Amino acid sequence: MAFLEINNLKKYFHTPKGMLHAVDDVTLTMEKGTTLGVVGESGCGKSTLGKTLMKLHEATAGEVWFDGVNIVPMTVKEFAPYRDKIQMIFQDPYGSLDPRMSVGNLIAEPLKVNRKIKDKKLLHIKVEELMDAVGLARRLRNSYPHELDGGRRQRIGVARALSLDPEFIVCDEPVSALDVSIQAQILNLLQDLQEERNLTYLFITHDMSVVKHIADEIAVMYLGQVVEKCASDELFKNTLHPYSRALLSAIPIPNIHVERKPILLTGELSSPINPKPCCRFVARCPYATDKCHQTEPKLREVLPGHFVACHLVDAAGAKIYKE
Amino acid sequence: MKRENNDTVVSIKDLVVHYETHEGVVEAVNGVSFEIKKGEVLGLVGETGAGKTTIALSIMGLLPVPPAHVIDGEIILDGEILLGKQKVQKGRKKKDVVVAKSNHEMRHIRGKKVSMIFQDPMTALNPVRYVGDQIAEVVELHNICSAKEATQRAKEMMEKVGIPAERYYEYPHQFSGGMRQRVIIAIALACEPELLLADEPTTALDVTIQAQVLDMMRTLQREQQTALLMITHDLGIVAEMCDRCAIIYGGQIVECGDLEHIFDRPRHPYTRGLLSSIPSLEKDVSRLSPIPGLVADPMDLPEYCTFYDRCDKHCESCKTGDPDLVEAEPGHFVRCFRVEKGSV
Ligand SMILES: Nc1ncnc2c1ncn2[C@@H]1O[C@H](COP(=O)(O)OP(=O)(O)OP(=O)(O)O)[C@@H](O)[C@H]1O
Ligand SMILES: Nc1ncnc2c1ncn2[C@@H]1O[C@H](COP(=O)(O)OP(=O)(O)OP(=O)(O)O)[C@@H](O)[C@H]1O
Ligand code: SF4
Ligand SMILES: [Mg+2]
Ligand SMILES: [Mg+2]
Repeated sequence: MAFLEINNLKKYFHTPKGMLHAVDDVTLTMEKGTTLGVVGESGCGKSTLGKTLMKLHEATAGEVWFDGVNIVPMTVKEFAPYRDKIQMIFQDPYGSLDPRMSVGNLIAEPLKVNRKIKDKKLLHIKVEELMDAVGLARRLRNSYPHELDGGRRQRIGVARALSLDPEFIVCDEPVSALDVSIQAQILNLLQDLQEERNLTYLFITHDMSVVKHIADEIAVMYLGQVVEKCASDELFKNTLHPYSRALLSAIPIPNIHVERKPILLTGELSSPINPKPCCRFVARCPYATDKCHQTEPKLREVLPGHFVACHLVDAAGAKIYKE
Repeated sequence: MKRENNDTVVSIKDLVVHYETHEGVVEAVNGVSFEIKKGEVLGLVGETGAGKTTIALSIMGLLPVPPAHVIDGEIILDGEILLGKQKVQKGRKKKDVVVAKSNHEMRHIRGKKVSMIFQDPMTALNPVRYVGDQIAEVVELHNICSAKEATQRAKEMMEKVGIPAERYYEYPHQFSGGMRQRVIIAIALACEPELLLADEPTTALDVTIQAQVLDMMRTLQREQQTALLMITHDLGIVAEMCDRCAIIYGGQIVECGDLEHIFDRPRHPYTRGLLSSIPSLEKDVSRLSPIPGLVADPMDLPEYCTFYDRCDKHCESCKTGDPDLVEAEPGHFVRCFRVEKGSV
């Protein structure tokens, strides 16, 4: 069994207009020490997927096998020993830190809450170790978040996530709010920590160049579903799903010698409330056929390790649609 | 006063803007000069706090005064001086003071000659008015035309930005983020301004929607021959949309030139660092090369080169003063002592 196995995971929200299918039948596996990138448009369910894995949301249905045990049916008490092992880093280093707490206390907090280290001296040492690990100067121990720049605040977020020695970290847009020069510092840090500690990352982002750089595999989501999943290189070399193609073609490339021809989609993301039993992308897909309107394509493996949910990709991984 | 000129739409000279706050003086813009010609797109690229929005607000005459204080500079739009030095009698002496057009005067210029797409898209539309009326309103304000004609023009603009005119009588909340941004662009371009200042116009949008919006902006910009200042932190957008590019750091332009200069032959260590920090879609590298250190703090700028602390090429002589923007090759300007001396 893989380190992490997500089977048919669903998370629905009740809304006044009906049932909102935020995560709808997601199946994914991850090996230990790897990074799975999750990309897709705003509102496609990336954060909800991450939060459901951490049991911050209760799953509507499905299984999450973490290191051989299914955590979905667990009670809070049963889940407690696993909670430390699964951590999250958030996008907004500003909003996710208590402004009244000093850097030292922010990093010590998870350790105190979990009563992992009770001895004050040991706690002090552990905080310094964590600060060293994430590249925060020890002298900043008594500073407050508002006195620091975004990059350093994100380092605090990373230190907090590391404090309980996790095995799996959901990184939800950890560099999106940062300047590019600072973003590169944090990406390098996350990579170093992964190597040192054999961490497994679910890396949520909407930046395709970041995900290509950091992820071993990529899952492309659209309206609550995974429409394509494969190795990072494969996705860029052999893009099969029409949505993935549009997404990749739309990225502005900082090179004036590359002629980019974006596939311009008409229409916009449709509503995730009570979706019809058809392909979720059908309204914007340039190639949609009658079948696409009538039945929902299932995610299937069309080439070794390459999964796609589209009626117009055949069982051997050939595109039936004309570009 | 009108100045006869070629096809320069806007020219900014030696602009210096400070924010005078309780905590101290923020030196936001420190001697910025550039021109944009008719139909030309200039990219303005820089990190958080580099002064990009402050420059745009200076042109619009919308700086919050106080705390903002224009210390020096001249802004000429379509031959008309929006901001410039005047001799003013102070006691016995005559003194040079920077005088800007009044808010009243600017009201006739904004929307008609210069428009701005603001960084924060959520605040730009009135939530309780029909989107169509919000477009018609600017037309009515500036063109001496009937309400009926203004409505007609608004509908035309909606179609141009890809929104069916029958959605005229809807509220902003009924529109998606991408559609709202297109309405904002329609408002900005409804009166065919000479100059459009676009402050991160697509940062809040998804890439597939961004591609639509950029495509539409470019089509309209070409059609109307608008001079466009494209503020962004995305060098990909610059490569795609712009004719020239200025890289700004610590309130100063550190490098400026045609796209070939910036992308193929960048000279300033900051520009080079910026380009190498971006993960590439084309090449695989196992580690990125970030620029070390922190973004310059405009409350605490050094007397010498602002980039000194983070620069991998610095040497002792870089501390002797503030380098000038020097033409390294025709049309390619760089602010760096070592480039000036030819030693990098
Ligand atoms: N607590 C909630 N109650 C109701 N609906 C929710 C809740 N949380 C999320 N949603 C809805 O679920 C869908 C998925 O949201 P989610 O935040 O997971 O998207 P995302 O992919 O992370 O988007 P973004 O890129 O904007 O962060 C959206 O339609 C959102 O409005
Ligand atoms: N009203 C204000 N009062 C005080 N300081 C201000 C004010 N507006 C801007 N500043 C400061 O001036 C500097 C330049 O700000 P500006 O908004 O022009 O930067 P920017 O390049 O647009 O940054 P960003 O990429 O974050 O939008 C920053 O240090 C900012 O904190
Ligand atoms: S299933 Fe049909 S509508 Fe959906 S992406 Fe494939 S071709 Fe397009
Ligand atoms: Mg999210
Ligand atoms: Mg700004």
